[in-house]
Amino acid sequence: MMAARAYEFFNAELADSGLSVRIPETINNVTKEAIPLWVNYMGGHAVLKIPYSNAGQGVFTITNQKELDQFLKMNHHYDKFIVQSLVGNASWSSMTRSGKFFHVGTIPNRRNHTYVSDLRVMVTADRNGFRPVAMYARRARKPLVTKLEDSPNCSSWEMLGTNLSVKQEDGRWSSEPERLLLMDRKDFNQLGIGVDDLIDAYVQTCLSVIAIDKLSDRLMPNDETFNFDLFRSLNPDETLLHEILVQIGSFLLLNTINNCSYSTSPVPSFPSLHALGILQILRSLPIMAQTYGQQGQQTQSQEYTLPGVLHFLQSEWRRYERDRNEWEIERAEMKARIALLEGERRGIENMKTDLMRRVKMLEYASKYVAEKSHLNNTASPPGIATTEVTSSTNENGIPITGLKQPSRPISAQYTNIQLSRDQKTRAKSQQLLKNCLQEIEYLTSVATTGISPIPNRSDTVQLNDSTQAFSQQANRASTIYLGSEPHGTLSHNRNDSREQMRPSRPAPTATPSTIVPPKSSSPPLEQVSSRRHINEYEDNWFNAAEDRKGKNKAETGKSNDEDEDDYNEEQSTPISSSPFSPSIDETTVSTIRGRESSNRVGKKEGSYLDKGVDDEESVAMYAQKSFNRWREAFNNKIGEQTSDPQLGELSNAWRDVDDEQGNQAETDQGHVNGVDNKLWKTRFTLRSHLDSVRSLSWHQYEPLFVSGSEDGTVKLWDLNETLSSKQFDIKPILTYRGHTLPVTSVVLSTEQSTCYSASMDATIRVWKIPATRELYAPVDPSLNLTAYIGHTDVIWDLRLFPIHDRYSQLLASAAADGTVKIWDTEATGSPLKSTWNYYGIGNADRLNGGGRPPVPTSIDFVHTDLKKIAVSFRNSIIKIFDIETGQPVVTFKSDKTYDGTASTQINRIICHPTMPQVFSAHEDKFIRGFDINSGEPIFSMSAHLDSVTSLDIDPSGMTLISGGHDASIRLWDILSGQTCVQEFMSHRRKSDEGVLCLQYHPTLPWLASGGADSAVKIYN
Amino acid sequence: MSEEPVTVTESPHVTTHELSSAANPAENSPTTPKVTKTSPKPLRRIPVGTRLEDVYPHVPISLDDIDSAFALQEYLQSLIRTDKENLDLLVNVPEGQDADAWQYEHLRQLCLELGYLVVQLLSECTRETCREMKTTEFQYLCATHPKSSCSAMDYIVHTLDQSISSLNDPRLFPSRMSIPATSLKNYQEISRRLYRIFAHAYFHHREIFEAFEIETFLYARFLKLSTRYKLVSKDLIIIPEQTESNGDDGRNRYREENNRPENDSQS
Repeated sequence: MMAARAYEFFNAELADSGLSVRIPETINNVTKEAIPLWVNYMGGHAVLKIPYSNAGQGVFTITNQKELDQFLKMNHHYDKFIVQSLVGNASWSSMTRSGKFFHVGTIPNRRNHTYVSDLRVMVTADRNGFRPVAMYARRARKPLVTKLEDSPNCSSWEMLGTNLSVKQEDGRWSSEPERLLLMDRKDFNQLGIGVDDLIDAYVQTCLSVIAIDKLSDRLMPNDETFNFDLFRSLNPDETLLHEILVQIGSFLLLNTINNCSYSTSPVPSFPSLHALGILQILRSLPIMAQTYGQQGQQTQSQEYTLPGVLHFLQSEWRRYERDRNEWEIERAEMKARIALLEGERRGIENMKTDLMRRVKMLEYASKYVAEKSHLNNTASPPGIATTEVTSSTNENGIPITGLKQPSRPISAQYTNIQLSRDQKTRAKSQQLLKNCLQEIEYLTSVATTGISPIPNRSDTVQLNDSTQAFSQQANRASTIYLGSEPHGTLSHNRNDSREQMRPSRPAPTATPSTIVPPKSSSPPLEQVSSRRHINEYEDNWFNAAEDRKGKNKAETGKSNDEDEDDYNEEQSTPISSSPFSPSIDETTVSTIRGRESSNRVGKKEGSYLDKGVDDEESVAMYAQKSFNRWREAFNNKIGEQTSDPQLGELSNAWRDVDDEQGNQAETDQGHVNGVDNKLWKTRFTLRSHLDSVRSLSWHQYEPLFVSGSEDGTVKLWDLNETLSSKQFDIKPILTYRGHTLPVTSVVLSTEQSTCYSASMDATIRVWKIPATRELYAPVDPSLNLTAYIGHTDVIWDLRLFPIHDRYSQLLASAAADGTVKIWDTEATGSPLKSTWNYYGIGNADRLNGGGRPPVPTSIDFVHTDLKKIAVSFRNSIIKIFDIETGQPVVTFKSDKTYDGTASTQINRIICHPTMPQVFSAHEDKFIRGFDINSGEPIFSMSAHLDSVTSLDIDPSGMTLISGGHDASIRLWDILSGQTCVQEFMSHRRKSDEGVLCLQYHPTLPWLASGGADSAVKIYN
Repeated sequence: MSEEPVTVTESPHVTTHELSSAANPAENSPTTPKVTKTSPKPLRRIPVGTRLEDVYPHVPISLDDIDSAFALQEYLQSLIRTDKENLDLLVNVPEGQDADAWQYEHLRQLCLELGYLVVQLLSECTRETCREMKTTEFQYLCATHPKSSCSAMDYIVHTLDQSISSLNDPRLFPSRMSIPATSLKNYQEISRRLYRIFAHAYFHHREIFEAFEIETFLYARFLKLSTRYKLVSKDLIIIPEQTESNGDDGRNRYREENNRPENDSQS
């Protein structure tokens, strides 16, 4: 109550600052008779408080008349009460002048229950300011109901009160620590409180502590006196004043410890209550009902003795020390994490610099060739130079009007000249470019395989997946570039496109000529060399800047003056030490200077570090070390981070079984190059099918999958369940029976909790994945949701659209009746969306000689262009169709070895998750890759000893995995093309068939395969 | 086939490697006749995109042609697909083969095909129609939860699932080529329970039973198998004899034969 006053005063002080202590609407000093009026005013929902009580006692949430009546009937010690607004549910919170309060966080749990929690922040302060000590939350005992009428038996206090103290029936006090959510525990995350909210909580706590401190100072201007008059004017409750007068005399000094709480769901308004408690502790009121409720309650009902008080103080001190230690540990961890992230970032940046340098080099090379060609014809060299300078300055956003104006017509001329270049030079420059690009690609892959020209950088580069993603992206970029290269004859165009790819590059047209040195005889040489010099310099500068940026991040506290000197030195060095004659005219130099300074201001914010190479290396080493440490820590925690708690146990159990291997496999998941470390090993062999397993599909997150077999059944396997109990006799959790012929393909939709199975009986059946999974549960016919009937022959492949949308989830099927059908599984009417055959929708008549159109064998949605779908046919052709129109868009030349029989057909195709590539598995042992945009083949390799039947790509997009009728499974490195990373024999052959299906788990480091031997194998 | 019996489970890697080395002759065998004979013997695999009529070959495969660890299963399936009325041929142990292993394959196949009978029954046999598992007079309790009674469909599905899981249990049946003598008693237990499924279908869902029987001869085959190898004792057999010699055999066979040349002409 006093705290509420303190907040009001402080808020008045802060009125203009934008800061304020948020308090629920509080009506103080309400007499018992006036309570119903105020409750009514708050809309019938309110919080009633008896002043000076604590630990959840003396606080009453009033949500209906019954509760109000009960309160009024009780005997109360004090005369005045506090009425506050209530934050209940959206539908039953108090209305106040400032609107309604609402809860933050409060994510429903698995049973869809939302609990009210309060968030408590403890802070400490010294001369240097505030520091957080601890954060924790306390949860209410019962979940929040949406409508009060729903649960008449549940008292509102049980839903809204978060105090842990419980009064037992025999009158003693106990607490319920299971409702305490400590911040370093996982369940804290379930609160769903964001960092913003935590910061807000911290700020509010600090503010309220300050507010109370200020009021306390006013009440006790010096250490000896207590301004009783002021207190009385603030708080005219005679009963309380009497108590104070009686008990004054024994006081405590606890000035250093300030403690307050902030409630995210300010239900019974804890801030005021607890702050009041602190006020009491601090300022000689012997009611120490603060901190943990249990203690507070005991002290309320006992006499105070000096040893008792000292004991309390000691225990409090110990607790704070412990909290402080914990916090220190956390801080150290955070520091290490920062170092790790910085290491990562540095790696990426170095990589980027490298690539950029090469791109520049290439650009220079191309420019040089182009220049040479047209200089021979109708040269205007100064024009080129100006153009380039202008364009680069434009990109840097520095207007240099003097140069800009004349350059325009010349640049137009330049374009025309380039257009008119003869074919020969063009081809030549293309060749040159291609070579360079190959080099880039080579270097990129080398960087990821760990042999890099710059060891310091490559070490960091090699370490994480994100850099891989980057290199992969770079690779993609270069692929795109290759694809568009034959068309892009204008260097302007190319520059533009590259500019789009890397918008942060300072000067795309400038390149150092390390590969093609300019010849020193032609008239424009001076220009060229000078330009080149500029470029080189620029490049140097850029690299230096990049390096420093890394350093800058890793170490701080260097003075700007030093930097300035160093910078100037750096600036002068390349010019003076240049092997070329420094014939740069003033304009150019000034341009560069201008650009530099602007760059410098824009990018570096003017602080560079003066550090030698050794230092840089040591920094890198440090980052690397800490990164490695963190990697280990991360691996150990990897189990805990997964969504399912059982999984953690699981991975631990595995690690026990096979420590090194398990660790490595998880560590290097998706890391292609850790060949030695990342061999897949069979973990389980699941036997329950009675015939060949033709298809399987994983759940997105859980270790759960479905398998479809030639025995006509679909089985649901839950490894969660079985593995946590560590038994090795794994049974399927459920067998779906409904197909009347063998099942050929299954897909599991995580979002819909359904699975789709296609069969030789020409139907697609839709099954529900039950929420409760129990062996030998009663047969539930409702799990059989529906069946899609439309195909007239064996359905061979099913794929689900990669993105689930509440209104639409597409399913594609390919069948031996020659058609591909798209189903919308969320459609309210008929699920069938469209049907087409080899020739597309409406082109059914275009048959060759009246025969049946070629039968589709496999389909996959194009992940990089979700409007398209790839379909392979028995004549070994892959076509890309537009899903909406059903018309073929691209036809691949994938039938190189097609001989007119099924023994050369395509068995399966898969699209790369991030690159515009499609891979096909052929009956004649080949695996081929194609570029989706151009339709051009990327590679073709004889991959297995027998037909290739199944393909999958690991979630990171780095590894292609294939299974064949030779019963082996092989892993291929996508980046380096056709390198076999691992091979292992897996299934036994039956009916001349071996491995029939393969799938990576989308999020867990597992792999599953099904084979003709009726078994499913799980690898990790 | 029986030369390499136990290796299967003791060291799967060894077997798979043996198989992979054996994969080459298997691969070559279909190609050699390709050259010599005019009609090439196709691989037994089902390529993706195959039409239903071409999925399974219409001529039985000789056991000698099959070079795989699952030769008996393949042989049995091939016989059933092509000549399912010839019960004696089906039930008799193929020459030089192990009788126990042959029964094992039969039981597996029985469970597989019973799955399809269950699919048919699902439409009619529900918790409402058959609250308890009965054949003629007794009520049977499910072995998976013997304490409480369950509906007939629950019993059927659970019994089938349990039979499948014990047939797939590597402790009971570590190899499909030689069966440990201690596991043979499971045959009788499995057969006895599976028989009740037939009995329930016969006494309570006669139409489905008979339609299915005409199609598959499954019960007839099972009866033959269990009497031949004494898997079900005589006094437990309660389905009257005449269903075994079904009058529709001739018509059915006629239909089958009618289909065959039609398919051949297409392929």
